[in-house]
Amino acid sequence: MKLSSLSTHTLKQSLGNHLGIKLKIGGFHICLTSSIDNVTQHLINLYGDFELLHDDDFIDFHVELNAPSLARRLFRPQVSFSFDGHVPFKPLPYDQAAAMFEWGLNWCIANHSNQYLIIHAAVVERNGQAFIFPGTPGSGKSTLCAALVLSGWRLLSDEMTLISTVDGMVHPVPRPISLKNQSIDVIHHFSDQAFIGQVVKDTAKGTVGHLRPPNASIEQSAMPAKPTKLIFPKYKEASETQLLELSKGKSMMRAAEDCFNYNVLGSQGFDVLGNLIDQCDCYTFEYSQLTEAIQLFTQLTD
Amino acid sequence: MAPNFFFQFVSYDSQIRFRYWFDECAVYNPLTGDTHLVDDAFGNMLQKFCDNRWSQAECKDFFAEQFNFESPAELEDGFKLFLSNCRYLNVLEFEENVLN
Repeated sequence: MKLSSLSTHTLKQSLGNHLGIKLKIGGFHICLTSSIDNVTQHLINLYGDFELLHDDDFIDFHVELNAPSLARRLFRPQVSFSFDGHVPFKPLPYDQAAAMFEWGLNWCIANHSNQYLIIHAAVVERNGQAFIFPGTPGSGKSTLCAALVLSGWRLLSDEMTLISTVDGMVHPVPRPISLKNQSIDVIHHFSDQAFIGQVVKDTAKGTVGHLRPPNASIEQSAMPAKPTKLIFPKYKEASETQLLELSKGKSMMRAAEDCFNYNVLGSQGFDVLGNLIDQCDCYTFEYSQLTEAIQLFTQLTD
Repeated sequence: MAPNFFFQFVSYDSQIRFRYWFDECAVYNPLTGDTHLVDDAFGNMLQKFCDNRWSQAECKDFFAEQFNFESPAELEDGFKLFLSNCRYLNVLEFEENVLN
């Protein structure tokens, strides 16, 4: 049963009681409780195609988003994120509740999923080939990822590439794509299929909005993909589209820097990342035109 | 008599990881958690030394065999540089052989 099958009233009621809403997101089982309207609306807007879990399913992450105190519901309202009863972050302004859910969930996965080597990277798939785009904020990876997904590529993740430590495959965790600042308008104009949820201004990352993930990607979220390209993107205004080969040694060093848990995994992290580099062609990529970028990557998978 | 040193490479028990791509070698040192990118010649040499316990003299002889040094001074400089790089990567310790 999908979340969209619940009425707004039922969803709000379920989120507000202690049992919460239990969602399957990729290979993770999440239980969310919240009595914040923004969070309810965020789920309606962007999580409608996600499967609901059964009451007796195991839950990986119990998360809660609520006001930290009664006073904070009345005066300069804030929202607090808690995970299994712990509060890992300082509260944020109330209107950032939905964004905090996404950021908090990123944190949960990044810190508690050492069955994977986790690269800070977008990853998409076409014709059985997964392209990994590692990058720091501002590199344009999420914008590129959004444009590719809106052009028919399968979304595996816009934020975290999960490489299985067992078989080296990329395991999908498709979720709303986080767009920031100018990227929001860029993607709005790129495709009339783009549905972006509530846009929140003045966050720590600037203005933030989330793009709804395609239903097809969610439905295929149990299907891992083989990584074939590791591409370090860089958006540069007015630049020409340029894909340049990067040596495997340098790619290894750059990718290691972009991992969340490379050091935690130790020698295993080195082996898994080394295997990934072995099986991927590695590039740097500079671009300013999304259409050219998509044409180029699509040709590489034809 | 000057003490004789043995080189003890920390990957003596083969825990250091090596990965080669053409002329590049990635080296992972589990004791420090650091990953380094070195050239393949340096990687090969380090890997060889990590396979066993070597005396200073054996080490230098092997090093000399790998490259064409034009003079003893050049060999000396090259060997010193190699050792210095190994120490920088924290993969080399000295162990004094007290019996000599």
